[in-house]
Amino acid sequence: MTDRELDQLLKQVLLDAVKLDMEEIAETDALFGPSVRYQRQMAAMQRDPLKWMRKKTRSFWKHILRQAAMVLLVLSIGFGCLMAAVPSARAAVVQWFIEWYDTYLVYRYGGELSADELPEYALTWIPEGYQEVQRNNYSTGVSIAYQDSKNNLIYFDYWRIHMGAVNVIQVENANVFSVNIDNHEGLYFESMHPEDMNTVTWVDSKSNIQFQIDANASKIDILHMANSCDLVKVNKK
Amino acid sequence: MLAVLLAALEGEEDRSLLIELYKKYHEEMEQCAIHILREQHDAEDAVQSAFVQIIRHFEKVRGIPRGELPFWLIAIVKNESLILLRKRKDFVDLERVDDFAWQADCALGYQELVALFRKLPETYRGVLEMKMLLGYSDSEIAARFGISETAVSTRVSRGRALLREIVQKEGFCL
Repeated sequence: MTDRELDQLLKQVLLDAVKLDMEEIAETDALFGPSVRYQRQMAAMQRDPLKWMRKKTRSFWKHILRQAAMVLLVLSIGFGCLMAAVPSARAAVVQWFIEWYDTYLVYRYGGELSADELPEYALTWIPEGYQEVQRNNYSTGVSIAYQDSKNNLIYFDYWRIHMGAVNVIQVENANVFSVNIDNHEGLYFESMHPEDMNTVTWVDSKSNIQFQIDANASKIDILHMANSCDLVKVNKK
Repeated sequence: MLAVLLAALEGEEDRSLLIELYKKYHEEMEQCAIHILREQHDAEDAVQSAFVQIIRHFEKVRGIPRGELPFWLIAIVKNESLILLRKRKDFVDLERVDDFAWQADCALGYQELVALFRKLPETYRGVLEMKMLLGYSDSEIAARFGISETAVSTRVSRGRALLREIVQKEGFCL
């Protein structure tokens, strides 16, 4: 047998070994439950694979060296009076602050995870032609996807904020604006690339929930959706 | 670096093929990752790393027969998962190739041969897969697994030598 034939046989053996691996994998009891962030990443990968790959392979330490970090501590002003009047309320307040880096920002949270069940929220207005296509319920958050006939997507996520959780938002190639959503402080991220999604996020400090909408839509429509966010159901344990 | 990126995906046809591969096989790739890593966050990282590798080496995809593509993809995500697992465990496996060679004395038939190669120590098998199935260079394999190029070359040589020994003993023909 020549070297080339041997390599051919080795390749076939390895391929058939992978086939057997796949049969074993199909019987696995472990379940893959994609997170919201993962789904967004894979959507971005399909939109522009090279750009996505460049972002993924940019080494993290270069972020640290290049960053001009600003740490902003943002306390919920609405709780100011409550905290002064009821000291025990301080324990219930979840603090959150934003760290700004060169190409991304990080929402960080303090405070304990609420024992209450997550209430149910809904967008009472979405652009015409969209319908709900996926809903994922997690222990601390919900992710809902809407889609129209042209496969444009809107993601509506909300989650409990608590110590240990973070939310990272890419700000490279985006303009950032402060916005007010139903008397809550928020940020709007407008992408410089028309094919990328725009994002609005805000924190309801009273319920300790952060909301986020990502969509290929105009600022007007996105803020309209955000302001239409309404409490549908309070779940009690 | 720029030349590598330009060669990676050429035009809309490549992008469409990548999306087609993702839609067809992402669930199997995700299952493979969670099967090995048993942790959602790590499995997501492994799948994303796999797609980085796929995009980076996309020129190879064009040359792979369609029927072999799913196995090619699974081999990539399997090795990315094992790389992550090795980092998490933070130790180096003692690779008992001598035990494996002893078992090869008992090999009978092609199916047993495949079963035997499935039992190869992880890095050994991973190196062979990346070299023979995925067409990575020795330096690329060394970088992925965190081993020397000499170690890569040795594993490939030993894998070939082992197969040759079995073939000569059992008289396999193509």
